[in-house]
Amino acid sequence: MATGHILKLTPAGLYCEEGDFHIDPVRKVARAVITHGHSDHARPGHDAVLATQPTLDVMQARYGRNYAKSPQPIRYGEVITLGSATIKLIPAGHVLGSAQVVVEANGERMVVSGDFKRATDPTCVPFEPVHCDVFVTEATFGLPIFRHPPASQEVATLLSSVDLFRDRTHFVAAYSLGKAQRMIAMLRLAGYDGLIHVDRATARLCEIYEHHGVSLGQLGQLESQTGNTLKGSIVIAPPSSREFVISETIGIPITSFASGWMRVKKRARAGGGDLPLIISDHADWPELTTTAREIAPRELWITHGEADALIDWASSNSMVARPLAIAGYAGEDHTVQ
Amino acid sequence: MNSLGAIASRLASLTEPEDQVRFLTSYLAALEPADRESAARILAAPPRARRLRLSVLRNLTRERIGDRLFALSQDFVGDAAETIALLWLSKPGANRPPTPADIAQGLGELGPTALLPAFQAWLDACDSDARHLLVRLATGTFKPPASRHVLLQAFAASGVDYEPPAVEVRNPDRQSDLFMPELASTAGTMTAILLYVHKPASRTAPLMCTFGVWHEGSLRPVGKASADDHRDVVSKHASGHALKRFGPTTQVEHSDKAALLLDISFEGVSASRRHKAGLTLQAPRIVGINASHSLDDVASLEHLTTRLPQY
Repeated sequence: MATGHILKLTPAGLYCEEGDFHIDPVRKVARAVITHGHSDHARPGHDAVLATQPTLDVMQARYGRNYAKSPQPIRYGEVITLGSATIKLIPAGHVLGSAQVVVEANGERMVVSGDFKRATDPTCVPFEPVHCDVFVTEATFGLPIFRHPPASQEVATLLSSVDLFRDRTHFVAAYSLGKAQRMIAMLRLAGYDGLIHVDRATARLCEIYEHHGVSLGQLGQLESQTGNTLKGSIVIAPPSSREFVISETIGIPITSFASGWMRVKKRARAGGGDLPLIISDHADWPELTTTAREIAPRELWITHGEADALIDWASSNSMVARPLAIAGYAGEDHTVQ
Repeated sequence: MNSLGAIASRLASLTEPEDQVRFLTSYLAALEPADRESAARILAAPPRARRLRLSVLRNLTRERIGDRLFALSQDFVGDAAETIALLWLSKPGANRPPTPADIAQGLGELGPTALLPAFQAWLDACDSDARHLLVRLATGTFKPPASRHVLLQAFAASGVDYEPPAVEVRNPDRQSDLFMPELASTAGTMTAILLYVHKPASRTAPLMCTFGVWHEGSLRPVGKASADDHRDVVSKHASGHALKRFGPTTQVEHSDKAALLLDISFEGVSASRRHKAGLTLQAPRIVGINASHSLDDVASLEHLTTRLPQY
């Protein structure tokens, strides 16, 4: 499909023949451009990897020193020539270091957004719209029911619960890359200077954030808190850490899950715990449609997510929309569990 | 009304009854005194009458968003009232949100032609949780979001002078059955014990529970109801206390400590020769989880039999 464009869909993912590279490939390839560090987009074992420095740091922290044969950092806005194509990375606003890939060749410009959002996030550079012929978008929340409330409002809800249940531990289940750091930074911005504990994997990623200038304040190490010392604090960790919190705390923790899916009660009941919070690092319906309208591409390609409604919307806004349904972009941060 | 929407939604999420009491108490305390009692009334004894048809509200929403986007949304959400609440947009220039008293008065007094435009203006002014509550109130489908026990405790703690209309009927051998007389019918509430859980055939189908009551020293199934808002508690119980599995049906333990007691409301009791218990319950609903693990709290079949209409 989509012949005649500078990017083609192959079994490994989007491929540019002119520059001989893949973007966020789901299989091992010779040359990969990586949009961000989430595990479904950044996989280990490629030969050459081009990405922002924070993304490379995340890959190394997760996969070890040999995550790629030759990693190459690239700054936002820096233009790199590969074969007869040029590429540049521009901010996507999803997590620290996340980038959209702007590919130009044969007089065509395509932008691959990776995952993105437009909402405020103190931990990463905001999304920049770039005009192009083809915009390749995600559609994790591609249904008009998805309208994320301001994240600051959800953080205020969490803080009012912390205030009401002072004698309890608040366990906030959040992904270790992106969501956790955004929650911490927003809690600090809202004036919370109490104890926040994070698990070891999240702590390692928090160090990368700190190294790149995102201040998260003092954090406690979850695994070393035994004997009810967690009481009254906030714990931010993946869902699997809840058992530890229960076993080390007297009394049941108030469990919260921070995700865009919490907008739907059925999902909130299934996984939201006592306090479902609607906080997401993915664009909601208004952000997806406003972005597409602003960029006004001739074609809108949809990598993954709820594509049907966005296709319907695009066709009534005189854009050609194509679902790519890339298998494998449905891991970390896309689902509730 | 936005506060009340948030209360309803958050009460349903909190799993521990004592947390529900603490949360509701603080929330009611934050309301204007004038709103507190109407809020309490709406939570404890929501209107049962259907003042608006769901199909009317669905059509209005569909007109705003378009058939295809509505259908895709409804497929994802499952529940029609919630789909409407999520798709209907707050209007920036709308009036201030209605108060709980406005809602109670409007639903009670406005005639059919005046209600629909007023209701649309309410939806315009509210957030999605409040819209969800409003749609369920207007269609007579809102259920108390916590057990009666939780509500009464919180009302008392926040100084709400309101007691839901209920009287206690003493059972000669079991002391705790609570019946709410309504329209001189055979409707009521009781505590029953969870016996079987039926795994739904699809993601959107309800989780059904078979519950039972005492009969001559053993437990006898008397009805089946959707787990609704208590789905998490019920499925957790079913996985932790399974006795036997028969395909999608799980028989759960019911010893003193392991029992899950359910507060059941029903719209009536009638005699039935087709059922082993000799009676059936009309529209049984699980309205709460009874925190006590005492099997003495479970109602008896004999007691239900006394509820049968006399001919």
